[in-house]
Amino acid sequence: MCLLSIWLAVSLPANAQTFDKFTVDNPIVYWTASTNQLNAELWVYKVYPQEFSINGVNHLLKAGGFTNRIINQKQGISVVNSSNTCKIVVNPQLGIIQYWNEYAAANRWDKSTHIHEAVTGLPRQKEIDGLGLKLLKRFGIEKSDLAKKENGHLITFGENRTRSYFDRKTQKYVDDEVFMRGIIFNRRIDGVNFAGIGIGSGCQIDFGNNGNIARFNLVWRNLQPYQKYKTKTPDEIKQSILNGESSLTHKNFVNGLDVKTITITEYSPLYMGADDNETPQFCSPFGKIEAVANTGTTNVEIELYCPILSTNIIVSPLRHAR
Amino acid sequence: MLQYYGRLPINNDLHLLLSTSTYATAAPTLGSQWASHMLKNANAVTEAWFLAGLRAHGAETNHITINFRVAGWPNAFSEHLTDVANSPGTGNVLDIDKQDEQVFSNP
Repeated sequence: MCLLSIWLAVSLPANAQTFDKFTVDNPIVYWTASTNQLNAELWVYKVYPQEFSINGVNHLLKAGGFTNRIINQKQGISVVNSSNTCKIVVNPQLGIIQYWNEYAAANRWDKSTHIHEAVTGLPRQKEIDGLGLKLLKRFGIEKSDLAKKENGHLITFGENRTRSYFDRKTQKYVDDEVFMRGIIFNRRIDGVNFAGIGIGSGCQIDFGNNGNIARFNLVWRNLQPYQKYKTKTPDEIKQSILNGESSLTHKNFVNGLDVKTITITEYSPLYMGADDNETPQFCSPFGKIEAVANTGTTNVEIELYCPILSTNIIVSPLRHAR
Repeated sequence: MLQYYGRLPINNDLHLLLSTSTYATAAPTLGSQWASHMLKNANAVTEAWFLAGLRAHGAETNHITINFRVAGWPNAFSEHLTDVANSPGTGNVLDIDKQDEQVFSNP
């Protein structure tokens, strides 16, 4: 087996390695988590340049008031208006689209009257999901491509931009007025969600006055199956923790060397995305573990990221002629 | 608190004060993300701060709600790093605004 294959299996994805290694001194590890989330096998994906929907990109160009239209975006585009207040970047190599329209939301402030632009036609909170999904559909992204909870509901993160100011017109202080409202969706592949908040792999959409798009950040890399691995059993995952292969996230800190017992209460596989300025070669799964660490005197709820692929490859490397 | 005690440092020299309005966990990439959005992506200073918050905290999957805040003169909210010659549109402290955005929360 080549070294790359072993490395892909045993190492945590790069962004999960930003947390400290969880080094322990031979505690007893109990598994009480449901095994519903245990996948027998999972793919490691290779990242290729993305081909974004021309329909979707043209929709953004129109929304930004640009008159040019594209017929091909394989090389990517980067346009900005003359006042530097609206821009679109489409980068197939990075698999990203960035759109920002500064004045789609009520951002204007009149220098002579000192009056803020009024908020009008801002979509209501309950409309945001639908508007976001409609926009994603233009890029060929369906609801089934988005991260969901076990109950089937989408995992979304609501976003409000608020402002507080003294209104010269009414002579009153306006507190926490919502003037931009949006949503973040996470990606899902093979029934496995991506970790974190959608900007590592997913989409951030914000709307301003009259439902105009104020911000659209899409990180949607072209992922092609590369190698399929068997995943670790609960006993093997426990052993990984004992071997010091897991990382402790920032949920709560505990000195691993003080821990006497670890009780795993929740387990879920996740894929790790990468920031929009990164060019990852591969996209690998890892395990998120919720656990209670007992130090003999206290219980601490901790979260661990753990490698979950065994070195047992089911499907050998595929070579995609792209 | 600074505003309550009349100690806001926002003046002709400091156009915007960028911070958080809640506790925030350590985010090692926050500074580089902020710089990258201002320089590479040419975002406004305010926008770059909020985007940096989202990205720097985005890899985590749990915990607390983190809100980022920007306070300053109203016409400074759209300033880019290159707008070095801009002056605050008003010197009246009543005009100091603030904007907030939640950059991290549980779903």
